[in-house]
Amino acid sequence: MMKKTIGKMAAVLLLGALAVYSEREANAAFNTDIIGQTAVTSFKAMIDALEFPPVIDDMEKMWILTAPDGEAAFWWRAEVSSHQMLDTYLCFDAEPFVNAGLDLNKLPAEMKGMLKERDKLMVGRKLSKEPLIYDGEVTAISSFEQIVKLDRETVGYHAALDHYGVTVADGNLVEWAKDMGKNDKDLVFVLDPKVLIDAGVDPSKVEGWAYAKVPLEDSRGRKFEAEKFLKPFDLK
Amino acid sequence: MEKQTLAIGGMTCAACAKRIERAVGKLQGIASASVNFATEKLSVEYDGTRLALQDIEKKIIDTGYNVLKTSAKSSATIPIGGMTCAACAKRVEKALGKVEGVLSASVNFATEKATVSYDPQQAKLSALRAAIENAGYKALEAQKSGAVDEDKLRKEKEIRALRRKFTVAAIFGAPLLYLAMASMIWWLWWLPFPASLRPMQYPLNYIIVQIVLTVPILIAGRNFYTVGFKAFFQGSPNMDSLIAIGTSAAVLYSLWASYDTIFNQNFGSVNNLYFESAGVIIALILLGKTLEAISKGKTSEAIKKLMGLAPKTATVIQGDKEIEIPIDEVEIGHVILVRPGGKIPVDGVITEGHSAVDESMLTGESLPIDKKPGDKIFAATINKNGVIRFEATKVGSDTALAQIIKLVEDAQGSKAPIAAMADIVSGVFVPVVCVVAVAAAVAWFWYTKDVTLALTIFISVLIIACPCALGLATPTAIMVGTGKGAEYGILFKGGEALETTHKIDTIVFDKTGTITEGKPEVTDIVITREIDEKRLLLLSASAEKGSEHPLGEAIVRKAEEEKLEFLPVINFQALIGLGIEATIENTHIYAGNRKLMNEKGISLGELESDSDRLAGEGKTPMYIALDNKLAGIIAVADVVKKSSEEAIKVLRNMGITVAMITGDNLKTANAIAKQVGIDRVLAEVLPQDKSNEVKKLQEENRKVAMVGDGINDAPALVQADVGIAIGSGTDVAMESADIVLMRSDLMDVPTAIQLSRSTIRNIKQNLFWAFAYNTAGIPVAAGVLRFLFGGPLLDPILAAAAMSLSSVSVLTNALRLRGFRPNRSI
Repeated sequence: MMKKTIGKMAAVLLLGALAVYSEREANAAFNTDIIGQTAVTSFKAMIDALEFPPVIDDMEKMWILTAPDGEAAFWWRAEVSSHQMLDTYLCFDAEPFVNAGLDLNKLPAEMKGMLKERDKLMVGRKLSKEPLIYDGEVTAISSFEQIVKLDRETVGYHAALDHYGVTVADGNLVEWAKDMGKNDKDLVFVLDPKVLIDAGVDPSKVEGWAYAKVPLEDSRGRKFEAEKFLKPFDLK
Repeated sequence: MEKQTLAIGGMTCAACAKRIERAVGKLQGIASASVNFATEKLSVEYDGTRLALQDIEKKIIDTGYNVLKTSAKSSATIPIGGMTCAACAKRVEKALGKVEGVLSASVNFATEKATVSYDPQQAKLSALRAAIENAGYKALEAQKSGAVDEDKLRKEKEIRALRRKFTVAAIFGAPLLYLAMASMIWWLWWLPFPASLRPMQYPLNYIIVQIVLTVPILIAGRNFYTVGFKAFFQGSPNMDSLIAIGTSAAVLYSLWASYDTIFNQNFGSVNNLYFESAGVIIALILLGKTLEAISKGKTSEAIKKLMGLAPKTATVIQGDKEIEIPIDEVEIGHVILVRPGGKIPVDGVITEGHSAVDESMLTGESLPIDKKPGDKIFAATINKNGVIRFEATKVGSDTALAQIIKLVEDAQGSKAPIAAMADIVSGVFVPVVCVVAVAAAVAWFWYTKDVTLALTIFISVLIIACPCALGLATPTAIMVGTGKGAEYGILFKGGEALETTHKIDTIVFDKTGTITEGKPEVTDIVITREIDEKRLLLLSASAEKGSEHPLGEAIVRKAEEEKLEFLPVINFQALIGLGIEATIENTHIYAGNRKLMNEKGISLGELESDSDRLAGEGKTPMYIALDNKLAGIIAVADVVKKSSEEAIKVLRNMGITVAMITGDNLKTANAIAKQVGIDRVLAEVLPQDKSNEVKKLQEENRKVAMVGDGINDAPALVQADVGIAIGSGTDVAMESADIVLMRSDLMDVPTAIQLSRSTIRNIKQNLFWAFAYNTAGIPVAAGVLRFLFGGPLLDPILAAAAMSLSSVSVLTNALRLRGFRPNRSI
């Protein structure tokens, strides 16, 4: 009886080891991170399609991808250091939301980092203290690639829209089409509305942003729908 | 015609049984072929001149199943004296190895023992001992392990293999299910989920791990594919085919989704993996099969108990020596010694000693029977208090115990008419289900354009519809029911008898030997003026000496008690149903019933009133006429069995009409009937007319059972819907009957009917559940609820769980019969 129990426990352990081993071996032998790989290449394709490609902010050492209408932008770090507050963030004009009833005093302070200087709100995250290590030239793509490597979990695939996305803060994303030839929303800025609505925004009155239900999946694959502010662009 | 029973391996459902029946039935020379799915045996009757058994076996193998050989392998440990070195051990091994029939022999020099495995059909233990002695060593008393019950070992091996396969499937299936269902158990957020396996971030990892976990499960369930696809492509799909098609569809679709994810980079396809459906379905069905195999083993416990009654060895007297030999080495003519407390090893006749023998295990009689030289004794009965020696008269499969075991085994292997419907449905069920599954899937695809939904429905229909429960519903209940009957000393000769018995609404009891003890005694002798009592008794006893009729025997016994010397008889003739005639000392004698006197025109005269009086007292008057003139009446009375009145009361309370049939005169019959509570009496019936009386009752739209014990009852036993022979009766009666009661207790008649009613009720419950699962499950699986009310669909995994549950619940229900207790207080 004891032997059988030990045998079964050993089998379970073996199974766990096998699963981990197979996954790691697969990763080691050939890169199984197909989302990570293709997310970068399609990000490049999206950038290539932009009329105004990303530029670097020399002061902040961050790349800036500005939306074609200029009302929102995705910032990502070209160099990472421990003293910086955020490494990726999304900033957007405060005006449409203020016009829709936003009480700026009710917003958390971290959202108002760019308010005084640029009249913009921001949401973002700190990635890592590890410096970015480049093999070659520092470009918007190579920096993005470093960020994917640094915090792979921020990048995912959004099956419902056939988009890749990078999560810049909880519920706030920048998404781009996996295949621009098959999508009319090549670049989408996605804002989580809760904090804004809590601060007085009437979603129906926000100009320049669509307010709609979006089909989403959580990290375990659970499907659900959530309302978001969306700013989509067809880059073709 | 030859009859054979073959053990079949590899069957998984009732459709397999039908498939084998059909395949074997098509062979030229086959008269009948019947497969019992529960016992996994084929009973075949064939013309041996046109067909060999090997042809039948080949056909079964070609159809995709195995014929299990049951070579009875035995093993023995023989202590050896005289060995001095390892070379001696080798020498003994060699000597044993040369004996024909020895499969393996191993001699341990240290323990000085030889362990021999051999075929008892070819080699005897005495031959092994002789080989050792011839090699120059001393063979001491052997310790023989019981003959290996290959069937039991095979079942145990099957259960072990199934358990092992299920364990593999469960170990790999649990994480597979967790991985795939993580999105559905989001509320268990605290359970860990590896980030590197998130489907929308690492789809390839997710796919690889799922495939790695699925492959061992598919290997564990490979039999479903090898058997199922073979059956499918041979045009006779079975339960395995449904599982194989369903899970293959899930796996193939998942592989396609994997390809689409990896190579077409349609990462959304990672949501279309159904590996876990295939894996968990196989795991659940293996679990169901394991529980099914365990439960099946329990259904045949009664027969195992019977088999366990026989002792393993016998002490044979050879010259002055007592030698203990294995039971299968006992031969007819051996003189066997049995000490007090010992079991009688084979059937025989006592040659020396007196003892009381407990025969309760065979007859149910609780009191030991006194035995003396000349009396028969039977295998498995227990010698209570005296040392006896007896001569073996029946050994091996000829003993009474072996015959009983065979009777029960045959009954357990037979089919009841109620199974016919399940058989018909099982035969067409699987192909119909395949069609329904395809039609439902196509319809849903056409309606929704959703391949995943269509596939889910296709798999669910195939899996929920596996007809294993249907195939088990009847035979398992019959196995338990007939086994339970054997425990009570009630031997049903087949499923049909078991089934018909529950419909019985009229029971006809033979009087003499059935309601009564069958040992009548002379109570009155009434004479005319021309003869004295002693002379009348002497003449009639001398005339009846050649008669086998119980009444005649009573007169003979009375004369013997009176120590009368019998007179020589000439021209003896038995007059069936009337009496006898004979001539003694030139006097012509008729001795018999009133009908005989009427037929011969002999007037009762002055004895008419005595005759009526005796009959009214329940006594049977035997009229003795000398030279065609009535000389006197000898009244004979039989004692009513203690249990008769109670049994008849229970039967009447069960709503059954009870009748008594007898050749006796109406008055006597009525008196007995009144005593035991019978209200319908068929008296003065000649033996040849008994079956006609039964027929008349049947013409009243009654289902009639006949209970009897004598040769004269045999035609009526055959004519009745159910013939019941009581154990003390003749072989002919038992041959003719559908049910044999091993003891003479009439309470076993209501017990048999109650057991039949319980069994049929159990079968109906089983069939209800088996059909309910399928008839309710298939429409739900096909999406009817979703289509009509937007209701739920049946997940393939739930379908597999429900399907396995159906078999287990049917078996569990059948096993409930093991708790059957006769209700004697009705």
